[in-house]
This record gives sequence, structure tokens and C-alpha cells, in this order.
Amino acid sequence: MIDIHFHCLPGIDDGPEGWDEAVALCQMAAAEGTTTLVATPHVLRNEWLNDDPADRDLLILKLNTLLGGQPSVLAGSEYFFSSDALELVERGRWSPLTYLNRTRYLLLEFPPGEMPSNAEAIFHEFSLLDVIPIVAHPERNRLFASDPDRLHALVERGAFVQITAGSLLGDFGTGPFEACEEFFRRGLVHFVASDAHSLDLRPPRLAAARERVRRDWGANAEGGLFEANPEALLRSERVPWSGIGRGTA
Amino acid sequence: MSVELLPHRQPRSRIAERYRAFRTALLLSRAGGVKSIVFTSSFSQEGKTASAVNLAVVLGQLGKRVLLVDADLHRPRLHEIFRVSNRSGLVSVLAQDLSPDRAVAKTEVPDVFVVPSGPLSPNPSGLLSSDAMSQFLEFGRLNFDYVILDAPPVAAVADAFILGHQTDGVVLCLHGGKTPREHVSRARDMLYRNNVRILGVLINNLIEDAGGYGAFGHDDRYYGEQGNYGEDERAASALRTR
Repeated sequence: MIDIHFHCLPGIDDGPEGWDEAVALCQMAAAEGTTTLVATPHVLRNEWLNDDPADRDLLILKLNTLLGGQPSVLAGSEYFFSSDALELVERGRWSPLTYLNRTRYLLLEFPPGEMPSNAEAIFHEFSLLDVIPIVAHPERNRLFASDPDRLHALVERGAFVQITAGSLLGDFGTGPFEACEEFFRRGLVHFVASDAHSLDLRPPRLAAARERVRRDWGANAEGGLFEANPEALLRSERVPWSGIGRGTA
Repeated sequence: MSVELLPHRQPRSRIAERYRAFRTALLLSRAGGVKSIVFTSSFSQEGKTASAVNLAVVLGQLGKRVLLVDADLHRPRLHEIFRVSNRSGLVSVLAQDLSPDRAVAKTEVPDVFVVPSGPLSPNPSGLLSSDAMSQFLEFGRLNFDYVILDAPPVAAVADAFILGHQTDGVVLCLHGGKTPREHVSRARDMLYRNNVRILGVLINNLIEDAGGYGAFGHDDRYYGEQGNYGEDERAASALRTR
């Protein structure tokens, strides 16, 4: 399996605290079948600025050395959306943003309870700049959970959606769980990722989520979400599967 | 397929034909001709933007140079329809002194150029009634054969009246079978009271006799039907009788 959202670089955000935990966390993912994961530390969020991509590259280099390729860790980031998004994108190689596996896919999260009013306008500009935003865990955002039309408006402008494995398993309560179900029914789910942070509180659980998707939404959805889509993403190709729930699964 | 740009994508479609008929009638509606036209509606979702876009398309098909301006500074849409950047536009010209030629973007439709709204402004009416706006319209009239403005609905704000005064007049767009009679007459009264010339009334989604339309499939759900009346008084009577 491929996990496109994973906090595994120690000491730079709210992920693992030290190298031991970082390695154990990645190995936990490998044990349940993850072969490749994308390191997505928070960027420009709270005290975790992490605005030098080269620093992250060095950490990934060390982590891959410690892991010996099981799993293999790729570069990425989880960008906390801000109104200067376009300026950040235009900084090019000097930008603090690292696209997933250095493709054109940009993982971004919104503040927990809102969607900035200019987000739709900026997503429109993203599409003209050939940036493909992936909205991280909207099911845990109160606005998107209660009003999926707002999420749909972003998808219409070229965005994709990543939900969190734990949300599908009820780890975050009924709100995010039910929001996931509604997103599935509306064809608003394109990726499932672990958003793993730690061994105890936020472990990966991607295999269990995959099982749940197969049971609830069928083998077609499972194949699209856990194989075809993340594989295409890493190759910088167009995401092939955008299912519309049970009827077509 | 969405109805915007349909006369461009399917120039032989029935809808394209409707817009060409509308074009002909509109251009003949006023002594001295029509060069600058404002599109508005009573409320939102009545097809004013699609109508403005499609009129621009069929004018472009005549080889006329058309400047299509997103003057709906409240809910701008032209940048999305034409997939152009909205980082600068009309607001930048009016409030930030951007040279008008730099706000003009080319489109996929030959001879049709677009000025998107640009960044959101807290004071659209103030901008649209400024000297800068009349200078911008002058720029449009000098450099293009037609200037078409997509304005907000009349129920919400006064912008359509403001623009109506600075142009040859207004086309009022209605949604056939949906826009309530009271809304239509209220919109008409508001335009009259503000001394805005109504060039015509365009009814979208008018349900006509369904016979013989099958070959057009789902595209036939939507088409422009024009009611064109050269003088305001006749427009009013036509509205009353519908």
C-alpha cells in the first residue's frame, strides 16, 4: 500500500518525538502492508514553520537509511492553507512547500472549523498554474462535514480529497465518520491515508481502513482508493478513480 | 454540457441559432445601433451570465471584436467560464490604476476578449459609478465593436442601473416558467424609475411545444428566447402580457 499522508520526521511537528519512535512508526505501517509512504510534516502551521525543504530532505535521507527501504519514505508536506498560497507556489524551488513526491499534487489542510473565504478563488488560480490541491481530512473540518457542498465547490475547481483512515474506523467520533459516508455517497473521496502521528495515539491503521472500504463500498472503490489513485499520484499522472459510492463501486 | 459557450462548442445547435436570432434583434433594437450592453436579471440564477457569454460568442462569430466585462463584482463567474486568471481585472483598473489593456485576457473564442472582475472590493457600486469606470467604458468602445457587461441582479444592488446609464441599455434576463411575474414587473419598474433603457427581455429555459425537438437531446433543455422591443413602452406591455 501507499500512504500519502504521514508524519514521520522526528521533532519538527506533532509527529514522533525522536528517531526511535519515527522508525517504529514507519515499521508499524510496513507491518500492515505499507510499502511506500510520503513524509508530510506540517508546513507553516503554528510553531511548526518548517519552511526549509532542504532540512526535511536531510531528515528523510536519515530515516530511509535507518529503515533500509521498508517502507520507503518520499518527500512531501502538509501545507496549512493561508491567503498567500499563490505567492508561495510562485516561489518555485524556493518555496517552503514540498509537493507530494515532487509532483504537482499539493497536500493542504484548512483550519479546523472554516474554509477561508478566498479558497475557491485561489483553487481556481491553482488550476491555471497546474497545481493540483488535495484537501486533507475535510471530514474533520466542521464546515465541510456539515456542508459538503463547500467541498464539492473545491472539487469542481480541480481539487481532490483525502480522508483519514481513523475517521472511517470511528476513531474521531461519529461526526467525521458520518461525513466520510456522505462524501462517499457524493463521490468526494479520492484518497484514504493514515495521517499517522504517533505509536500510541495516532497509529497508521491503513489496512483496517482498507478492509472497511472493501466491506462498505466494494472492491472497485478499494482498488481505486488504495492502489490506482495513489500509484497515479506518485507518477504525477491524473488520478483515475473518482467513484460515486455504492452504486458504482 | 453546460450552456455557457454552447454556441461556440456547438455552433450548429438549436441554442446557437436562438442566440443568433437574439443577436439580430438586439442590434436592430435602437436607432443608431447598439454598442454597449448590460446584462442583468431580477434575481440570481436566471441565466444572465450565460446569455452575456453566448451573445459575445455569436457576435464574435460575425467577426466583430467583443469585450466581455465581468461587472458582477459580487459574484463574478466569467474567469471560471473562460478559465482565465482573476488576480487582476476590472477592480484593478478602477481601484488600483491598472492600465485597461492589461486587464484584457484573450479567450478560446475568436474575437472575444474578457475582463474578469479582479479581486473582491468592499464597494462595488462606488467603483462602478466612478470616473475611472466611464474611462474604462470609453476604452472599450474605442477598441472593440461591442462591449458587453455582466451586471448583478437588480433586486440586490443598484449596480445594473449605474451601468445602464453609462451604456446603450440593459437586457433583462428571465427564467421561463420560474421567474415569478411580480419579480419581473418589479425589476421592470426599478429600471424605469431609474431611467434605464431596456433594450430587450431574454427568456431562458422557455418551455415551448416539445414536438420535434427530440433529436437535440438534453441540450435542448435550455435555449435563449428573445423578446425584443425597440421602445421601453413596448417592452413593458410585452412583460405584462407574459
